[in-house]
Amino acid sequence: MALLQISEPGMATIPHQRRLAAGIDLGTTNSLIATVRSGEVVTLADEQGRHLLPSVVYFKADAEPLVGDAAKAHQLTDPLNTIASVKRLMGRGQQDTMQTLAGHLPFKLAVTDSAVPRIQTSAGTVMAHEVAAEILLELKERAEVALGGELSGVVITVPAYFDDAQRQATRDAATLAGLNVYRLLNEPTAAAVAYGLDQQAEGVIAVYDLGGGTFDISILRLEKGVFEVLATGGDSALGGDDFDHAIAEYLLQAAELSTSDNPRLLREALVVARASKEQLSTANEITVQLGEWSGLLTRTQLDGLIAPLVQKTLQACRRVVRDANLAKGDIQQVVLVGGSTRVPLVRSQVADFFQTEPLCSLDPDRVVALGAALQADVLAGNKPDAEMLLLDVIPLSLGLETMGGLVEKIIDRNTTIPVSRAQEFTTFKDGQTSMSIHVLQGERDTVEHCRSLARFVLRGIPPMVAGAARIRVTFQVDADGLLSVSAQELTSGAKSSIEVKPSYGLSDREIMTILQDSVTSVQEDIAARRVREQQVEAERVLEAIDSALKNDGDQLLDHEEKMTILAAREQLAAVRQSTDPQAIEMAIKHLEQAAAFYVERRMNHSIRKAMAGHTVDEFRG
Amino acid sequence: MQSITLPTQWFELFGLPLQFEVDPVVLTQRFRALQTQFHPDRYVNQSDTEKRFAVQATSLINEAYAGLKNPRLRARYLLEQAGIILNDELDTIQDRDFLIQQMQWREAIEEALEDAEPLDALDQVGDEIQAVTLTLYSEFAQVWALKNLERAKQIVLKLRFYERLQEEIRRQQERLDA
Repeated sequence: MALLQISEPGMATIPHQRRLAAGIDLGTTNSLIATVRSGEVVTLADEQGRHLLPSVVYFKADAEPLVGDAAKAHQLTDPLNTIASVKRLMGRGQQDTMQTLAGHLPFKLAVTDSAVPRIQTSAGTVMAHEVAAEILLELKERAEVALGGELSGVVITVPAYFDDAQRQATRDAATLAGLNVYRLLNEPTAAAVAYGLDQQAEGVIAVYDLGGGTFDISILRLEKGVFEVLATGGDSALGGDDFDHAIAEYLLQAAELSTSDNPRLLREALVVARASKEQLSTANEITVQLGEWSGLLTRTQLDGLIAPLVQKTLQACRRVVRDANLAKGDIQQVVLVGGSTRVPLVRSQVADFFQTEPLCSLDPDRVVALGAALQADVLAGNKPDAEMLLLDVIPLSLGLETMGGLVEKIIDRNTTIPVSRAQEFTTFKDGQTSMSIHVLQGERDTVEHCRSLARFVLRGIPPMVAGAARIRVTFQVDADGLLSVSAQELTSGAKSSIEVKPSYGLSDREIMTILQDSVTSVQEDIAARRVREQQVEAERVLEAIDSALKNDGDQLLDHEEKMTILAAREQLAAVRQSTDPQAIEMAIKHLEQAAAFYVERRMNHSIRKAMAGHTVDEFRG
Repeated sequence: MQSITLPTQWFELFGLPLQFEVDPVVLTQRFRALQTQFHPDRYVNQSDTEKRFAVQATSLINEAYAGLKNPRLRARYLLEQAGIILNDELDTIQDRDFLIQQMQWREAIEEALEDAEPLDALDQVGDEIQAVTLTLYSEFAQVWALKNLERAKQIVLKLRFYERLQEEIRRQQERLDA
C-alpha cells in the first residue's frame, strides 16, 4: 500500500520569539494593514493618523511613485499617470482588458504583444501586479515603522470568487514587494474570523459582503476553532455603484435633464446620488440639488429604486444555501461586510431573508483586514495553543478540454482545498504520439464559455491504436487556491508537468457571470453539447471510412461500389461542421447504410486472412 | 525529527472499520483532528519539502472525507476494496422494472415543473427519491455484511441513477431561481 511520509509539525520548532505578522486587505478602492499588538487586533495608521490607504499610485518620470492620498492628489491634474482600481486588472489578459475595460479605465493601456496588459505612464509601462506591489510596499513600510521590525509574514485577502490567475497575480505582487505570504485568505472567511465566531461552540453562518462593485456570499460551518467553508458565490458585477446609478437616473429624470450632450452631468449626478444614499442611511428624507433643480428624496423612494438590486443579491444567497446542501433556517448568524451594507434596506432585507438580525458591530471597511491579522498571528506561530483552522473551498470548477470543444470537469466548485484529483484520458487516433492539454476554469460545458488557464503538450506517447494509451492528468490545488497540473502516460511513464501560468482569457465583467451564465444557459449548453457530439461522431465515422478505403478499398470494391460510398462520404463531409445535429446524424446514418455491405465484406476478408494456415478446430478451442 | 506515515486507504486513514455504516459525528471529529495536524497552515514556517507534503497529505484527507461522507461513494469504495471496480458509464442495469421506475421518476420531475409551485413540487419529488435512496443504503449495508458482492454492485449502480435524478432536480431548481 502506498504510504505518504510526513514529518510531524512542531517537533522541530524550538520555542521561538514572537514573529511580526500582519493582515492586508488589498482593496479596489482602499487598502489596509492590521496586526495583533499586545493581544489586541488593530489596523495601523500612517503618520497623519489615517488608517485607510487609497489604492492609488502616481507615476512620474525619474521619481519614486507616490501611493495613497499623496497619489490621489494628482487624480484631477494628471489622471493618466494616476492609477486607481488596479485590482480590477489583476490577473486579466491583454485582450480581455483591451476589449472590455479599455473605455472604462481612467488610464491608458500600452499596445504590446505581451499576454499581460501594460499601463502607459510617464515613468514607462507598468503591469497591474507591479502597481499593486507599490501599495503593498507602502503598507509594509507603514507596519515595519509601527512595529519596529521586519515582518515575518503576511496574510493577504482576496475576493472568494478570484480565479487562479487573479490569485497568482496577487501573490506575484507580494513577492515584488518583498513580502513573505503565509496565505491568501478569502475575504468573507477573514470577516468571520474577525468577529471571533470561532469562539462560539458551533454553528452555521453566512457572510454577506456587498462592496462598491462586487457581491460575495459565503456559508461557513464553525466548530471549536475550525472554520469550514461550505459554499461560496456571488456576483462580480453588482455593488453599491449600481445603487448610485439607479439613484442618478431617477434624479436626472426628475430634474428633466439629459446627459446625452453633457457627459460631465452624469458624473455630477453620480456624486449627488452617492451622497444622497449615504445621508439616507440615517435620515428619512433629504433635499437634493442637481444643477438648477432641487427636490425631495425620501428613504422609501430610495428603497424602491434599489430594491431590485438587493433582490438580486438574495437570489445569489438562495443559490449558495442550496450549494451548501442547507435550508435557510440552518443559518444561525449573518455577518455584514462592505460599505454598501450600511444601506438600511440591505440590512433589513438580509435580516428578513435569513430570519436573524445580522452582525455589524465591526466597521465593515476594516473587518476583513482585522480577520487577516488574526490568522497571520496564528500562522506565525504566536499562538501555539490556538485551535483556529480555516478550511476553504475552490470557488470555480476546474476542467479539461475534451473532443469537440467540450469541458470535462475534474474538480467541482466548492470542493475543500487543498485537493488533488486525477483523471485518465485516451488517444483519439491510431499512432497518436502527442496530446495537447487545455486547462479551464468555469461552470459551463463548452470551452469558449470557460476561462482558459493553461495549455501544454504531452509528448512521447508510444504509438498505439486509438484508445489504447492511458494518460493520467493530475490537478493539484494548494491551500491558497493555486493550481498546478501534471500529466503522465501510464503505459510508458512519459511525464509532463507544469505550474499553471494563466493565459488571462476572461473579461472583468465575466468573472462571476460565469456562474450566472451556467444557470441561465443550461439549455444552450445541452444544445451545444448535442451539436458537438454529432460533429465528433462525424469525424470519427469519416476517419474510419477513409482509413478502410485506403487500406483495402481498391481490393474489395469495384468502381461503382466505391463511388456509391464516396458519394455518401461526401454528403457527410459537407455537413460535418453543421450546427444542426439532426443533419449530421442523418448523413452519418446514410453513410453507414451505404457502406454496410463493404463493412461486412471487410469482416469476412479479415477472418479468412486470419484463418489462413490454421485449421478451423484451432478457432473452436 | 519524528516521522509519521499516513495510510492512503480511506477507512484506515480515518481509523474506521471497513463497513458501510459510519457514525457521522466520529467521521467529522477524525477529519478535524487530521486537518488540525496536517493542514498546510501548520507548516508555513517549515521547509518547502514539508509544505509540499502537507498539501499532499491534506489533499488525501479531503478526498477521503468527501468520499466517506457520501454514502454512494463510500459503498463504491468498499466494493473497490473487495476488487470490484465499477464503471459508471459502461456498467449497465438489466433490471427492467427498475428502469421503468426511473422513467416514471423523470415524468414526476416533468410534472412537478408544470405545478403552480414548481420549486416546492420539485422539493417533494426530491424528498421521495431521498426516501428510496435511504432504503437502498440499508439494503447495501445488509448485502455487504453478507458478502453478496454482485447484489451490492447492483445497488451502487442504482444509487447512481437516483443521484442523477437529484442532480436534475437541482438543475431545474437553479434554472427556476435564475
